[in-house]
Amino acid sequence: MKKKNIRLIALLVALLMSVAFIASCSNSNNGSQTTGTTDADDSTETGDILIGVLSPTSGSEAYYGRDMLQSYQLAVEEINAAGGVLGRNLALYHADDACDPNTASQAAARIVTSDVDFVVGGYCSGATISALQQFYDEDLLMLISAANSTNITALGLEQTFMLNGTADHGAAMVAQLCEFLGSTKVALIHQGDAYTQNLSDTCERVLPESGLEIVTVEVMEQGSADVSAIVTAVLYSGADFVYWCGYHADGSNVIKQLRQGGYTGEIAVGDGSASVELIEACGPAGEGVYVTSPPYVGFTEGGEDFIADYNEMFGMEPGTYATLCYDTIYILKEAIEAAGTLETSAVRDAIAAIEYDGLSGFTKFTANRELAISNFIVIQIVDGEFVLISF
Amino acid sequence: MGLIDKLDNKVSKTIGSLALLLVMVLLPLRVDNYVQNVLWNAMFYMLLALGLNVIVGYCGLCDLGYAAKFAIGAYTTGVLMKSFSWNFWLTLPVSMLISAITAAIVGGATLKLRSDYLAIVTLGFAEIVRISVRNMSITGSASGLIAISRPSLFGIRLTRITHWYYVFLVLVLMFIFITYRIRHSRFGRALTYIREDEDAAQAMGINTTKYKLYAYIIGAVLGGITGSFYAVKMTNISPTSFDFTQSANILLAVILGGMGKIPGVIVGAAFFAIFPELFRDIPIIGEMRMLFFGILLIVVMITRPQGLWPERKQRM
Repeated sequence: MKKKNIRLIALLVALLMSVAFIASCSNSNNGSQTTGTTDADDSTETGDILIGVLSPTSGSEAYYGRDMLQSYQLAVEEINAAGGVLGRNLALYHADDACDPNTASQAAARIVTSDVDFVVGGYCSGATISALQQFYDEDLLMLISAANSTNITALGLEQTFMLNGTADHGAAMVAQLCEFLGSTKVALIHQGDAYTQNLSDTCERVLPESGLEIVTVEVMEQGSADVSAIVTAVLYSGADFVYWCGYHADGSNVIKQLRQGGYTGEIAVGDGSASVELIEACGPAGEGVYVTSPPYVGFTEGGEDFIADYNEMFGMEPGTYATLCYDTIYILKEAIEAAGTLETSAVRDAIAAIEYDGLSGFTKFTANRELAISNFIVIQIVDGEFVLISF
Repeated sequence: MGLIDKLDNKVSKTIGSLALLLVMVLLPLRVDNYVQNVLWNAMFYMLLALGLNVIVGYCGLCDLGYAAKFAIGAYTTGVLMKSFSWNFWLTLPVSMLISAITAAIVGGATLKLRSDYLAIVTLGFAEIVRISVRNMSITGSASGLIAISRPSLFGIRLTRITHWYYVFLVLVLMFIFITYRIRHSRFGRALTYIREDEDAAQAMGINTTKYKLYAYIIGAVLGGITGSFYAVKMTNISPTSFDFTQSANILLAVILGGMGKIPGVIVGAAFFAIFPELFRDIPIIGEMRMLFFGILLIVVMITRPQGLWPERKQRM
């Protein structure tokens, strides 16, 4: 009997604790909500303009996610030091999407709950798409700095803008590069996920229009160590230009094994591999490899100052999407100033009409809210460093 | 004395579960979207774990490809809604049917053999499903299906997280009821018998192949239902959501909680979904939360190999 009593008491205690838990939840929630509403009241006057940041700072893409966040921070600090926007400071609220749709859905909920005014970020297309629906439901505007899947456009969400060049821009760059190099037979290799397959499919559609022949399309599973089957297929197809649509982690492996297998033609990689880590991982095999890259800092006007500031602030080199992210905040600033208000529809219209000449190049949006003019560049690995190629 | 004990136990159990239910029902009134989203995620894993529990916990079969079952449900609903403009609620019976048929094919071919073979075949089947949906244009290939429309229930369009919280809460209760009834039926006892000693069960006249197949199909159908609801909640599904890690995660939730015991499985799934989130905001540890989670799992498995809340052996 006694034992049972103890069990009952334990149960009661557990119950009480759960009630206390809810009470504390509600308290903290009420607290944040009231501060939230006062913030909102302030927002018409002096409070910070809160910008939600969605980027992967854990998982396989953590490097890019952190680079994006740091670039936003740099831009925000500069703007705040120069007097802010509409006389108010900018502030960031970051949530990690881990490049995973499920986690992104939770990250989006965190951002939405934090009463942000705008959202920026978006690296992995799949994770970004999963979050976009929630932003749309809350009538939040999002500027997507890196993710560029045509699926995002296909959603047709009218307050979503993509700053990065699309797969069409990338494919057009490949066509120009082939023409420049005199290559005619193209082999495409992708990794069977949303972004890389999208790029490969677009190349398959666009390149024949420029008189190029697609001799083979291969798929390499992410993380598989042996790519001999792909190397054999590429050699057998007689390709003189291999375009790797995948990420740098596996790209170095493919490049090395292609060279070991005796492939002597040209190799180019897409923006998923546009990273200095590719040079290190490839070693000597990487010499001469072309990269169709987003506006990589160092090859853009005014880039030196940016690199110096970034280095000073974070003690590291800016990454692939740094310029795009930096410009994202400035475009948002311009649009808010042009609209004179934080209202989503007004800022959206201002962004749709914007013509911004920034670090990443000239930004203007199409009616589909995609980047109008390609900002892709071609760089080549020469003596272990990226060199800009112009043609 | 014995009777009073039993009653006492039963009363405290009932009070406990009712109180927990009350807390779950009232919670959305008090907490923000984020907490609701985390709890939704926990309930989502609870559904998957409850479904897998029928296969792994009740019957002792090893299924390494449960993600395939829920992928089949999700894609059936997704394709029917996107390509054929079906109403969501009409896709449910279809996705249950397709889950059952595929499970019958996979199970029928392997369950006559020793149970170990099922593990290999389910693993392979999960890969077949994942790579198939990745390569078919009707399933949206690698990008998956996007912008699946949200369904309506009693005239309310289910768009807010709070709606989904309650939908999944009801689903969890239904799954608990179904699996509880299965567990305490003649069929459920036969499954336990098979799990404990297959030869003895066969000697007692239980058609083990048939019973194992039924358990496997029931588990698959429950997974299919969960997948269908997942598709319309997320509104977009892609092959990466159904990889081996997902199968392993669900199996982990079942084993962590305690195989065969419904509250155990629920605790396991909740633990699995909520724990990494709790650590997210703690500096330094937050970045390495999965490492801590891994260590914790190992500690749990060493100190409590039977799971957090295992099934008590019934004494005759």
